[in-house]
Amino acid sequence: MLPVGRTDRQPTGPMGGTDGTDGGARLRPLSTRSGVRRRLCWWSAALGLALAGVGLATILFGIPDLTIADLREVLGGGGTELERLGVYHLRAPRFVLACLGGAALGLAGASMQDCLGNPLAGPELLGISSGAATVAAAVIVFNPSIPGFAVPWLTLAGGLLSAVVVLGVMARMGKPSSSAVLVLVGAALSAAFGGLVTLLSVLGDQQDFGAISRFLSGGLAGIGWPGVRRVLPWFALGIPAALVLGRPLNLLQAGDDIAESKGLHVVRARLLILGLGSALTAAVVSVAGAISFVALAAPHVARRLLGTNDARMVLPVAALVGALQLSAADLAARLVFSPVEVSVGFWTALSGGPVLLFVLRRQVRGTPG
Amino acid sequence: MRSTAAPGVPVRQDRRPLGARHSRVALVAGLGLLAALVAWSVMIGTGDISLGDAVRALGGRAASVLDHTIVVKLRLPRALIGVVAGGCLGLAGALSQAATRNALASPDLTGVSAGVVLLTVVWVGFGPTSVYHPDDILLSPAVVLVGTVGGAGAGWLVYALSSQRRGDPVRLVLTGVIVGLLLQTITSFVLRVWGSSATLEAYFWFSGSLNARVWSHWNVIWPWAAVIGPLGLVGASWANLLQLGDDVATGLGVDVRRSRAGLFLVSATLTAGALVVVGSIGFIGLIGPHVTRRLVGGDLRRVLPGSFLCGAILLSAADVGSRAFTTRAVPTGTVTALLGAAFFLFLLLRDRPR
Repeated sequence: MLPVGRTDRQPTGPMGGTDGTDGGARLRPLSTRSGVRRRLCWWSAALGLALAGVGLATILFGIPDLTIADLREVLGGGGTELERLGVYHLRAPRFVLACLGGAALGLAGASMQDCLGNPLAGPELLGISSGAATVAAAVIVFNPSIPGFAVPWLTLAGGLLSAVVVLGVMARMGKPSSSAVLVLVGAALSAAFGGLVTLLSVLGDQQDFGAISRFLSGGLAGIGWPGVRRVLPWFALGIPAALVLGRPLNLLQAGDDIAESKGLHVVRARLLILGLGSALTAAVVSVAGAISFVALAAPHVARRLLGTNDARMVLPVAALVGALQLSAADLAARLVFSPVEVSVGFWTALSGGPVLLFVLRRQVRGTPG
Repeated sequence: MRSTAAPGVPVRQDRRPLGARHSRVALVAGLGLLAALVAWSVMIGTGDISLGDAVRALGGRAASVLDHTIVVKLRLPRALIGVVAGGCLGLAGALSQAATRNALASPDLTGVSAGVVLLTVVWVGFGPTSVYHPDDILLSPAVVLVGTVGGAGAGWLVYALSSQRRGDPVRLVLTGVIVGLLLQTITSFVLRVWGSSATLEAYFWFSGSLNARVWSHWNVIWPWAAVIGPLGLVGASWANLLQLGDDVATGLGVDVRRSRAGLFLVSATLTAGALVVVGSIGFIGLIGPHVTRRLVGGDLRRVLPGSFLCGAILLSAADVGSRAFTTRAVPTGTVTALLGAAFFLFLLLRDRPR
């Protein structure tokens, strides 16, 4: 239960509220609401600017490198064939997809963390990503004649399977299920799906194996506009839907009892939110593979930047942080070891992993035990 | 005093462990089961061989050259490797569970397996070796050492990241899961950037299977098990004291941190030995000790050898099962992963706080 004195502070409870953890010690204490709003404006602007910078770099750098003058020429309809191809058909769709996918993952992570009251909830640790990726691997190997737009639906089914198991365990454990248990359930699910992927890679041929391993680590290479178009409806519906979840998420953070008393149907809300998070994740996985450490890390970065747990403000910033992280990681994946392209998952792990270990250092202390 | 483990993941005191006499019965039954599995493993496969023929082939009086090749050169080493590797994994799991006092700690959950895989793949790719074929590289004893360094390094990293004044069992596993995920990412990164056919094959090797394991692999694993295994077993009475809780153990004169680290290191070493030979086969290290504890109670002097036996039975059964009941070669790792995950969820749900 939440101590009474805490409810009148920010509109939110501590993160990991159902753990009974003391969230107050973790964040900058008692920031005023106007201060938070100011930070929201500043950080949104700063992140937007950084994103624009990364976008420009994505368009300019690579093979061939462009200068601003070249770019202006290309935009004016000039430039060489290769330059036009690079800008319009390779780099632009990648950047768009990185932004949308990163935002989707950031939102999925933020909403799952608040909805499960667990700072370590994220599609990659709950087995949702690996469920979706396994289905995607099966699609690669068996190559059934299904239209492209159906693939996200199939991956969603895989992701939802994990989500249902996680929710089922939560329901059976009773309310105070600790972070550890959820993450362990997720680890078990990931291991089971990993076993299935092993089986699939044995069933497939050498080429399939390459495709599967590329899928498991995630990558934005060679997707282009057709891939973007395939998942655009998912993002167009899912991202705005996730952005307006602030109020129910705040209520869920405050604890089930308080949420119920404020008229929120807790079980239904949790199901819907987890379903939406899974859908966003599955859409990303269906084109770009299982990219980890964006959904887990971005919300924590957003909370630290804002100094609040208020989901209404955290959500947009988490989306921006996720977009920035994924597009920067994609840029690094293309450029750092050029001409070899490294999986984007490595760079997101490199940037997000330490954040997560840092969170863990502070968080687990609070788990009862 | 701290409880034996964190809520949700307690080392469960089982209601009615077997007495000494019944444990002996269980031991004999287990050995009998293992022998039966080995025999079955020798008999089945493409070209079934009757038990009589198999025995004759083992005695050097095979009915045909083909029988001799199949039984002595292919199936027997496979069966024996399954026994020893499974045993190592079971013992490793029991040791790491004892070291962390966490019933859910096992090599796959503490990042050890991921560390072994990463360093071995790196070694196969860049190691100072003139041997070209990855199968041969994987057979050199140096690889086992490298794998041990990787596993122990990852285990140590997890341990260091998660330890405060006293190691917190829950945090250890959480950190282990995350570090494991990171290491897997780095592995796929290595494969992506510097991937050669050798590293790719090494990675394939680690997908966990007993296919194509022959006597040369046996020569890698048995010395390892023969040296490190007893080292783990003699730690039992020590580990028993650790189970009383840090305060009590310290009071009894145990250097808690050091003995815990020692047990952990032995566990990582055993894991590396098994993994280099059979690939990352999950969950044996989790299930083996659980079943054993259920049968013989919490005394580690019985649990540790029992876990070896139980792990051996589990891996052999998974291998025989995957060959006997499926038409295509399902990797053993897939069988253990699926069954293990189900068992793991069952454990979590059974131990839910009331």
